Amino acid sequence: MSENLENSQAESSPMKTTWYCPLDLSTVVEEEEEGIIYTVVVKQQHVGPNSPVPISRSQCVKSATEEKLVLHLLHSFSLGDSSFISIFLSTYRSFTSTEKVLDILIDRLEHPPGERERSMTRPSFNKAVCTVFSTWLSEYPEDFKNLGDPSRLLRLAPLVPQDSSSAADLRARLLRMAEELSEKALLPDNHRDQTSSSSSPPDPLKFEATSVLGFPAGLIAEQLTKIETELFVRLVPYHCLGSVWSQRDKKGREGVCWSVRATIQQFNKLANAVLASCLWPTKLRSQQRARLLEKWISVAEECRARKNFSSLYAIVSALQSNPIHRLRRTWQETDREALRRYEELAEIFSDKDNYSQSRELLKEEGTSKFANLDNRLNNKHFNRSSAQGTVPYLGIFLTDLTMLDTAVKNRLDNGYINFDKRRREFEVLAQIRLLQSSCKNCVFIADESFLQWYHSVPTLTEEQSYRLSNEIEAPSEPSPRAHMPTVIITQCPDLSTSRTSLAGDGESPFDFHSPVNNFLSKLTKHMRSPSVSCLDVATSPPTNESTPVTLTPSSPTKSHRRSASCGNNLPSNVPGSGPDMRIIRIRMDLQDGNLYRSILISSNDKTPAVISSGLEKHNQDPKQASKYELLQLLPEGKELVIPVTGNVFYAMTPSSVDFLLRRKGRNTPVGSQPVKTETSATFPRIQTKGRRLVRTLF
Amino acid sequence: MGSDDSYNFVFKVVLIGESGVGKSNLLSRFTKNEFMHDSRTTIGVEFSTRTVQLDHLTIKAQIWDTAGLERYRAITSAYYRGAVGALLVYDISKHLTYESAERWLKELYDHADPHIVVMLVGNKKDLETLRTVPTEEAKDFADKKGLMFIETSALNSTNVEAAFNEVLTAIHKKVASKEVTRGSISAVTLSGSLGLTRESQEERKGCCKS
Repeated sequence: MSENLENSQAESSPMKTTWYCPLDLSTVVEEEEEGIIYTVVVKQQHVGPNSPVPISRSQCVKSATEEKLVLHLLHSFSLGDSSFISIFLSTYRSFTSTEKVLDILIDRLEHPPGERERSMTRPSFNKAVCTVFSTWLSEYPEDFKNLGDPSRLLRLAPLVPQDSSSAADLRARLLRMAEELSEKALLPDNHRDQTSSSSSPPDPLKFEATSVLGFPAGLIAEQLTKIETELFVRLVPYHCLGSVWSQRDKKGREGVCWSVRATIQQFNKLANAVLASCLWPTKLRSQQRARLLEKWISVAEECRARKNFSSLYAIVSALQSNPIHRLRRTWQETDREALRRYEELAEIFSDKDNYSQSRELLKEEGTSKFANLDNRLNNKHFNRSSAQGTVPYLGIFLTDLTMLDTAVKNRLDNGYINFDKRRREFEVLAQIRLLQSSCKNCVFIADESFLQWYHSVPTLTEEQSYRLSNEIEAPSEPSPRAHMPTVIITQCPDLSTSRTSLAGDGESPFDFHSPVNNFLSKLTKHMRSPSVSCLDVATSPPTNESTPVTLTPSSPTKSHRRSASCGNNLPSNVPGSGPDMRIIRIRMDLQDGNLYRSILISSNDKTPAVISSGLEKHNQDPKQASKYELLQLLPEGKELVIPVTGNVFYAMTPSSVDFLLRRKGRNTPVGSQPVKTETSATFPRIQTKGRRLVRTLF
Repeated sequence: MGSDDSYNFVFKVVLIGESGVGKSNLLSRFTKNEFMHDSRTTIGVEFSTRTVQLDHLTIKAQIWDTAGLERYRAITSAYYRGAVGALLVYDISKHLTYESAERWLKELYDHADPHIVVMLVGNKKDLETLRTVPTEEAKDFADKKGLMFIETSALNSTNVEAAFNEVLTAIHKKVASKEVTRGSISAVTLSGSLGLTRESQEERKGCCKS
C-alpha cells in the first residue's frame, strides 16, 4: 500500500498541498493534468490514538482524452482507481473501438517506462499490463475474436512482459487467438447469426392450443425459466448500453446486440404463445377460454416463485395486450381468485414511480436464494431444494441505459470523454452481472413434450391476433349478459357504481374497457352477497359436486356473477350452445417415453371416438379402436372401465383425469396389483400433482 | 422534486415516432430536474414525470417513452392504454420520419382513445440547414388531421416546454369542459372533490338503467 502511495505521489508530480496537510475530513478535489481530469478523494483514517494518521487517497478519472483514458488502464490500480479496468472494459465500445485501444496500448508497450520515466517502475508496469490483458481476455474474449485480422495480436504478443509464468501464459493465449483469427479469415463467415433459429416455422395446422392445459403450471414455469436462464447467462451486458443498443438498426451493426435480441425474442415468443393459445381456438366458449387464462395466470405465478421476472412479465403483458384484454366475457368467466392473483402479479410491473416495485423486488431477491413469498406458504409444490437464480425483465435496464445515454453528455465542453457517465452506466451493468452470477449454477432438465408444444405455436402478427380476438367477441358488441344482472345490482348498492365502468356502452372516452382491472376487482370484492346464492343451484350440473376438471360453469364461487344467465348453462346441450368440455389424460403402456397425452373431450363424444383420438395421439392406428378399452384410473389404484356405449364426459368420475388405454384381453381385474403399483411407483408425482392442479385450475 | 405534493390530475402522455427522432431527448429535456435529482443513487426515480401548474391546478404529467423497448412486442398496447395525450415526433431533417406519421397515427388510434390529444412535433429545429420537411407542409397535415403542431429543438431546448404545456392544457380543457367524460381511473386521477367524478357517474347510472 505504501509503495502504491509513493508511486501515486510521484506520478502526479504537480501536486497540490492536500497531500501534505493532514485533513480531518475526506475531501474531494479535481485535479487536471494534460489531457486528463481526476477526481481525487483524500480520506483520513483513525487507526490509534498515538499512531500517525494514515491517509488514503484515491484518484479516479473523471474525464480525459481517448489516449489518456486508455493509458490510465496501466496506471489506474496504482492510483487507487481500482474499478477503472472493469468499467473501461465494459463500456469503452461507446466511445472508441477495440482496434484503437489496442493501437494505443501497443504503442505504449513499444515504449515502456524505465528509461525516461519516473512515474512507474518496470515491475509494476509489467504487472499492470498482465492484469489488463488477462482481465480483458477472460471477460471479453469476443473482442479479440471479432478483430478480423490477427496483425495487432501478432504485434502485441511479443511485447507482453516475460517476467512471470502468468505472463508467459498470457502470451500463449494471445498467440492462440491470433492463430484462430487467421484461420477464420480463410473460412466463410459463419459466425454471424447466433440467434436465429434454424428450424422451420411451425405448421399452424398441427397446433393444439388447448394442450397447454395438460401441462402442470409448475412444469411450464420451470421450462420457461430454463430457457430464460440460459439466454440470460449468455447475455453480454455491454450490449445493453444505450449507445450500443440504440444503434441496433443502423446498417452494418445489425449483429451487434445479438444477446439482447435473443432475450427479447424469447420474451416475444412466450407472449405470442400466450396470445395464440388463448385466441387460436376461436370456437371455445367463454368459460372454456377462461380456463386458458387461468392456466397462464398460474404459470405466471410459478414463474414469480422462481424469480423468473422475464417470463412473468411476458405472460402478464400478453394477458394485458389488447386482443386478450378486450375479451370481456372471457374475463368475466375467469375465476376471481385467479384474477386477484393476476392483478397482484401485474402490479409488480406497474409503471408507478418508474417501476419502483420491480426495482425493489430485484434488489431484495436478486441474489437471495429464494423468492420472498412470505404469505405463500401454500406454494408447497414448488421444489425449494435447489437455489434459484434471478432472471430479470431486461427492459427496465434497457430503458435506464437508454435514458442515461440520452441525458448525460458523452464529452465535456473541452472535448474530453466524460468517464463519469461510464461509471454510472457501469452501475447498471454491474447489477446485470450480479444477477447473471446468481443464475450460473442453475440446473434444469428439459421436458421434451412441453418444448414440442412450445415450438409448435404459430406466430401471430398483431393484426392476426386482433382479428382472432374480434372473431371471439365482435368489436363493440353489446354484451347482453353484462348489462342485465339487475338482480345483483339491486342487492348491492355499492356495485352500481363499479358496474358503470363495465357497462360503458363503448361510447365513453377515456374508458379503456378494463373489465379486469376496473370491474372485476371491484365486483369480486362486493359480490359476496349471500342473497344471490340461491341462483347457483340451477347452474350446478347434478353429477359433479366437486367438479375438478369440468369446463362447465359449475364451481359455486364463480356462479354469482353469471347469475343473470342462469338457466342457460345446464350441462345438457341447450340448442345453440356448444358442448361442454374437459381435458383428460390418456396413458398407454407403450414404453415410448410418453407419459400421457391430453385430450379435450366434449359431452358429445362417445367412448369409441375418445379411444380412437387417444390412439391417434399416441401415434397408434385409430382404426384399431375396437380392440382397446378405456379405463379411468382412480385413487388407491382403482380402475373404472368406461363402457363402450357410454359417454366419457358423463361416465367418468370427476375426481380423476387420468385414463389408460389398454388392449382388450390383457385386462386384469379391477383394482389389481399391477396397475396399482405402476400408478403409484411411476407416476405418483404427476398424478397427484396433476390432480391437485386440475382441481385448483378448473 | 415536488411530485409528492398533492395534484389535481395525472395525465398520461405518450411519445411516439420513428427511432432516432429525439423522443428521449425531448423527455429528458422536459423532466431534467427530476432526472438530475435522483440519478446518483438509482437511475432517477420518477424521471418520466413532471408536475406543472396550469390555471391554479397542479397537473402531474406522466410521460411514457418506449426508449429501448421498441422490440418488445406485447408491451406496446399497455403503453397506449390510458394515454390522454400523445406527442408524435418526427425529425425535420429526415423526410422519412415525417412520412411515417400517418402510420403512427393509425396505430395510435387503434390502441388509444379516439379523443386523445395529439400534437405533431417536428424536432431538431436546430438543423435548419438540413431541413427536408417544410413547416407549412407539416402544419397543413396537422390541420387536416386535427392535430396540434409545433417545431422543437431538444438540443437547445427551443419549444420543449411549450410543446408539453400546450398538450397538457388541451387535455385539461377537454376534461374540464366535459367535452369528454372521464372513465379510466388510471388515466386521470382527481384529488379532492372537483365534482367531475360524481357527475360523470351519475350520467352513466342513468344510461345503465335504461
